[in-house]
Amino acid sequence: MSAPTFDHLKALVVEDNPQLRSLLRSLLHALGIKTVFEAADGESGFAEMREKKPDFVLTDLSMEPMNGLDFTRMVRTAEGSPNPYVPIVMVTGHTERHRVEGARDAGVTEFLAKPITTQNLFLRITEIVDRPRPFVRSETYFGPDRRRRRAPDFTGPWRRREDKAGGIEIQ
Amino acid sequence: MTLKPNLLADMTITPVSAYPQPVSGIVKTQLRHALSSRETLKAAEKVMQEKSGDMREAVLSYVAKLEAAKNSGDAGLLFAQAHEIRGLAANAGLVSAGRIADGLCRYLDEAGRREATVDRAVTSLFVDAVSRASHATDDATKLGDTVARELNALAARKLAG
Repeated sequence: MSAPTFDHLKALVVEDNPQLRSLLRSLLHALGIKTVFEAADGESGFAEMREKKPDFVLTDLSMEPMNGLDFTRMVRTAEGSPNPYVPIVMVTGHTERHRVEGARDAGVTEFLAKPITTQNLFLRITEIVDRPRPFVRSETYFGPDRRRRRAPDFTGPWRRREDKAGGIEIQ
Repeated sequence: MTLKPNLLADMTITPVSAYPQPVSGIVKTQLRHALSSRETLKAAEKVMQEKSGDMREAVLSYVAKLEAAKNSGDAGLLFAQAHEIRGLAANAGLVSAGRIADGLCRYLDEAGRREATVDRAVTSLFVDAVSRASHATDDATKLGDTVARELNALAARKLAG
């Protein structure tokens, strides 16, 4: 039996390195996702977003003139964004903590560290499919809920009405 | 990022059910199956192997640029090349070169954050090691790991002043 193809699923790869772009496209093809749009930086990525309306996005972080963080912020918050809720996987070699946190705070859904491995790429796509997250809008942030796990020992600071301190709901 | 305490009053949450999902129903089941199927993984690994030569070529071109930047004293330029190498090297079968380049990136990043002077002797050692590791006939990962560790220790000592 031949592997299924996902004719209605559209991906966008935003990556300035042509070899990596080609690798990601081919890996998505191997998965059965045949419609893969490409862009070499954030600005053209956003143009592709508007025109092609992909179902999920893989983006690099470091690109010129518009990097992956600004691209993500634009997708999430710009007027005229075709889908502020689209899953965005940031594919990057930047493994320094402050950069990872910067990506998270820009509204990235998943983070995939380079070098790319098949297993890790597929795991991130699985996360998108199986564990979508609520979206949070605050004065300084719009994007997927950055809370990924329960921390029963956490003692604050409390930031949400639903948060509980010592079993008492914060209002 | 430091969140403001007044977010208790200002935050709104959109539940998953209230916005469109990329896949649903039968397609979701099929995609989930494809993501974990042995056939898909095999096909993807084949892609990785096929692309390895292109990736190696790309890494070597970045290594040439890194070598050219070695004596420039331009930390940003060195970082940019080393960053590309650390991202691509393992996909080109050059694991050691990637690890050493990662160490150089971390050193430059940390020096920048601390506003410390970048030691040219340290960056030169990193660049030479990346260059040798990327041109090695076989990727002697164990030896490369040792080199990366030693260089990282040297960089940490320099940063500690």
